[in-house]
Amino acid sequence: MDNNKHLSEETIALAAESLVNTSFKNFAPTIRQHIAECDQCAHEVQMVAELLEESTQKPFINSSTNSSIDIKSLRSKRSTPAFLIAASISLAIIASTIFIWIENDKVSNKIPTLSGLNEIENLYERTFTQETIDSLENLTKNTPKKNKTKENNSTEQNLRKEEVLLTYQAHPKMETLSNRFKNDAAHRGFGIEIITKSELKVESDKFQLNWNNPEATPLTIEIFDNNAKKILELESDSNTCEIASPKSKGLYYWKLLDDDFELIFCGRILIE
Amino acid sequence: MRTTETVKNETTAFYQKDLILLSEKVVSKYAYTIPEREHEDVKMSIIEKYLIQEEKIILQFKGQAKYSTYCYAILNRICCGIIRSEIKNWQQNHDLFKESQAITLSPEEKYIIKDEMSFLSKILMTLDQPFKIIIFLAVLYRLEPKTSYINKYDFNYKKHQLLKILSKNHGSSKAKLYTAMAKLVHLVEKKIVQPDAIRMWLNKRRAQAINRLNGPFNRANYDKESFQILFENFYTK
Repeated sequence: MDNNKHLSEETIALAAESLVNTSFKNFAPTIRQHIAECDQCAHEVQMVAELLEESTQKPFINSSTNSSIDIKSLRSKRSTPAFLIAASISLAIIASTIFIWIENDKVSNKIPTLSGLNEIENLYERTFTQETIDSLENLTKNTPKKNKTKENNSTEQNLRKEEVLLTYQAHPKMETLSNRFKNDAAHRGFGIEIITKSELKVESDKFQLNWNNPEATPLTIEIFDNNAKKILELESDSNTCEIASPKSKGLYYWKLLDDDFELIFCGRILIE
Repeated sequence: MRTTETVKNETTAFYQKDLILLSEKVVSKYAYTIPEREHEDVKMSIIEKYLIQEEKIILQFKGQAKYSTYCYAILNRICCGIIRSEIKNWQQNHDLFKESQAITLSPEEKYIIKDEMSFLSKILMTLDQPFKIIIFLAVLYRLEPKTSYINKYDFNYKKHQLLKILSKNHGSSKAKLYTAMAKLVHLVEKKIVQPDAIRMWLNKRRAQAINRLNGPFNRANYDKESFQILFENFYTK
């Protein structure tokens, strides 16, 4: 009667007995894993456990009793002196503080320089359209002159250019996510149809995100900057959402989620 | 492992009247799937198939489990086989739990609810990381945290102040609930996970539990809403 894909009847019986005896967590890990993954075997174990329970009339889960037993057994194992624990925690704090101090020192030497910008441009080539490059060049041209040496002016301009380019730098994970919904591909149903394009360019102080939500399902809208940091979260059950543009220009992402927080859509927003 | 003598004694003690009784119990567990008029026929089919294979069944028994439990497993599997072959011909009686709209429950309905909660607890126990699932579902449904379950997930829950993290999320948005769950995972399992990953993991486990509640033969027709009601009853009992 053994089935190559499923557990044998005797294994099912053993698993059911352990489930009733609350010793299932100590059952063979491979079999537990199979039961966790195989609906058919899980169903058989559950049904046999139910039948067994009815015949013995023994409740198989009593969390309060079990927890008191567990606590007692754990208390007997705890014999490490308190001062040793305190000393090891202190050492860990000191070590991590030193580590963080050293890392910060290293990071401060890693601010991208102008020579590194070409590399960044190559990595995120798609982000830098001609319009973006032109607008960046105009930005640097229109920078007001100050009473400083030519060298200082040049360094300042370069730093500003670097900062601006960094705000348009795409985030790899967010790009992967938004690419799934590019060209209006596969927004995940739920009765919602996305109207806003997958890449939205914004040049005004506010913008709108639009979709069809015929059943007025409660939706959540999240806006992220290009470091995948959430900067705004809104709820809506209508077909549109008007948002004030962020003050900083750059690349942003938006997500639309249903009331179960399932992702319906992810798009890009270019604030210019 | 029991001796051959013990096993032999157990098998010979398993009289035909026990076989009829066990078959009746197995069929009654599938009352939602098997039409009432078919109960007797299914019971007789189970007994017939068992008797045909009795010698093989006894030979395959290794003596690791109790013989009665082993027989339950055999009879249950035979019954499932019969249902799979006959289900298309039967009219099914679904949603006895869901269809009940009465404000006051009859004793029968109360028994069914109790039975369902017991079934749900078994399903949850057979899933991977059952207490984590229970705690996270309780968070999602904004139920009061219970130390009995938290202790099983993390016996250091007091040190990690898990109750504090769980208690302050009652009025929070779902995003904050998942962030709190991610924080729990970080504290307890020393893993850094995104709230989104927690959401997907929990949705998958919930779907698995609903699927197992409904069973392979449409014993029920749970969806997310009815599952939440059942879980709340189970959790707060």
